[in-house]
Amino acid sequence: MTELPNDIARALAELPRELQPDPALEERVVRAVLGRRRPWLWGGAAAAIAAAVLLVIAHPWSGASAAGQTYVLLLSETPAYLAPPAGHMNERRAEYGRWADSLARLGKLELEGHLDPPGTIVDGIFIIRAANDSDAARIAATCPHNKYRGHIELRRFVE
Amino acid sequence: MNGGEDAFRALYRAHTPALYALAMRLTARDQSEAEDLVQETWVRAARKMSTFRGESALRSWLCGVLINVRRERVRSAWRMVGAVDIEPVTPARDDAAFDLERAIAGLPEGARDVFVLHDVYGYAHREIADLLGIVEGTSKSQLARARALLRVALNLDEARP
Repeated sequence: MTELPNDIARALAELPRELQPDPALEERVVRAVLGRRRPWLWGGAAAAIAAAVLLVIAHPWSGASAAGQTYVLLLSETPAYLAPPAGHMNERRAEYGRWADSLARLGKLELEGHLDPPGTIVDGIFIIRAANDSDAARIAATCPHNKYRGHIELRRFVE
Repeated sequence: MNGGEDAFRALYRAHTPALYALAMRLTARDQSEAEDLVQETWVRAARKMSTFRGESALRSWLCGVLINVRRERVRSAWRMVGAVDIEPVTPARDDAAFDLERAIAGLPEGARDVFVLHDVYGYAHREIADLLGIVEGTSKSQLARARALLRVALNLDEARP
């Protein structure tokens, strides 16, 4: 097997084994491990995804989220959108809920909600915290809405 | 603040710097991903703490949890890639003082994982195979590949094209 020169091997052995993370990480981790999250509250009747899905519930960790910027994910349908079969709306909602829950455990979810009354353009909204545009795009890429060929518009929120 | 939280914070402060250093190397110095990895590691470890039998040091066990979380996240990310057109996050390249770390960060993902665990942290191929869910032969070939790429990256053979 290819060996590395001794000086490189020594340098590797001397690389620091410890690195201090951002101090804010401690609070995130403590909340994630010891905190409790409110149950998901899906709003509105289950007419259809087009009739609006996602929620407005202040998340319990709001105001204590990780450093970074706030982004808004606007979910809408496309002509190719794969709507859930009749009677399976709750499963679809639960899937989105699990995704939101995973963000919440990472301290990256600010708000979830639905628009009242339902509109015809935007089906759902998530407000998240992300380190930067790339991080936000990566989070958006994990949303189940992509799998169903929906459209997600990602916008930076400026206060 | 209660005793449970105090105890957890003490554990966190004792072991997180090591977990974070490992996470940074495995994620090619992607700070955001490394922080997520550390957080998920603690969440997972807190759930599984009752299964920790003390055969190994707590830090080694935590590192194993982190590597498992990392493996699951990489698989999950691969499943989701393609759903939308996303630019991959690239590590910062503006710090010349860390040539070696930057060269490691530039390795392909699979080769980097094996290289970091074997050549930086001293894991044996059998342990790496178990942790990453690969066979020992793959671990060895990935290590050879990583070392060859590192030699080029560091210009050790004057083989830079």
